[in-house]
Amino acid sequence: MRSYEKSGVLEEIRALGGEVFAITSEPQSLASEAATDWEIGFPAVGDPHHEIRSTCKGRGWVDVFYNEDCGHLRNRPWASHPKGYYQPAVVALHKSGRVLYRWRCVPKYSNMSGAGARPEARYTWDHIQSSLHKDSQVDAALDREPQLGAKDLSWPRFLLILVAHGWFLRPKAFPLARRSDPDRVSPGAMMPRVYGFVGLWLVLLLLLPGLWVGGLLLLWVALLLPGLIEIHRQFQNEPDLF
Amino acid sequence: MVYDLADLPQTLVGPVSAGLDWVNTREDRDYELTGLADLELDIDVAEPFELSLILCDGETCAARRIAFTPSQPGYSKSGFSMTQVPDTEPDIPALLDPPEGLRSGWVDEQLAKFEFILLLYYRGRW
Repeated sequence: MRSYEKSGVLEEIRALGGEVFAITSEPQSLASEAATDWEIGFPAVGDPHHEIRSTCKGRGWVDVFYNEDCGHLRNRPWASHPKGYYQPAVVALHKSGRVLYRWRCVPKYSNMSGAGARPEARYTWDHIQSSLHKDSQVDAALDREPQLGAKDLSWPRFLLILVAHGWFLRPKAFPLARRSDPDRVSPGAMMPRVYGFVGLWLVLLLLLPGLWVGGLLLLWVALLLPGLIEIHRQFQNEPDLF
Repeated sequence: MVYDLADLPQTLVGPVSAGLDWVNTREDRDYELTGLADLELDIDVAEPFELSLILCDGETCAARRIAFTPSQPGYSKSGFSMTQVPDTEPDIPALLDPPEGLRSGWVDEQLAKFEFILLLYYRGRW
C-alpha cells in the first residue's frame, strides 16, 4: 500500500479530488496503528462488522472474499477479525456510484491463499483515469488479469518456508511485524534453515544405515502430517465462479 | 461475553455510572458505555467488587476493568473508591471498535465528500 504514496499516485489521485482508504476487517485501533506504522499516507478504516464489505457486495460493486478460520494466528492473541479476515481487493467508485475499477483476490493455493501480490498502484491508477475520462455510465468490468506488484511463490515453496518457520514440525504463518512482537522472523531467513535441515538428513544418511534413516524420515513425515492437513484446512482455496 | 446494558440490575447502575465518570476524568476522554464484559449478576455492592466496562468514543473502543471498594459515607460522592485492574485486556474483548452500525453508511459519506474513492481491502495487522 505504501507504493501509492511512494510512486506519486496518491498525490495525483488527490489532485483530481479523490481519496484512498485502506479497509480492514480489524477494529479501528489496529487499523489506525497500521496506518501510522506502515506510513501509507492515507487513512486505514476498521470494519470489523463487515459493513463496508456488505455495502460493496449489496450494490454489486465487488464481493470481497474473507476467511473465518483465523486458526493460523494462534501466536497473535491480540489479532481480532470477529467475522473473518478480508482477502485483498481493490475497488474505485465515482461519486455517482459508477465503478471505475475493481479487482478481488480469489484466494487459492497458487497465490498463497491471498497472501500474494496486489495490482500495482500505477497500473490501477491508469485504469481509474481511463474510466474517469469515459463519458459512459457503464461500470468497469472485474479485472481478472491485473499487472501485479510481485511474483507469487508456488504453494510447495510457500509450504516449505512455513514448515521451516515452525522448525519442521508444524507449519507456522508469517504475520506482519507489530511493535510488541518479540520474535519477528522474515520469510527470507527461512531458506538457510531449509538448507541446514537438508544437510542434517544428508549427514544422517552418511552416518547411519539407510533403513534407520528411512525410519526416521517416516517418523518425521508422520509428525508433520497433522500440521500440513491443518494448514490446508485453514487457508482458502476458492473456485472463481464469476 | 458482553452484557446488554438494558438488562443491568438496578444495584449496579450507580457503580457503572461512577466507573464511567471516573475513567473519563482520569483519561480525559468522552467515552460512552456500550457494554459490560464477564459480568457476575450476584455482585454485593457493599463488598469490594470488579466490573469490566466496554467504552466507546466514536470510532474507538476500549475495555477497562475497575475495582470498586465501598467507601465510608461522605468520603466520596459516588460511594466508592476506584482503581483500574491492570493487564486485563487479553481476557476480555477490548478491541470492539467501531460499534456495530457505524460503518453501514460510511461509503456514502465518503462519496459525498470526494469526486471518487479508492478502497484497498487488506488482510490486517497480522
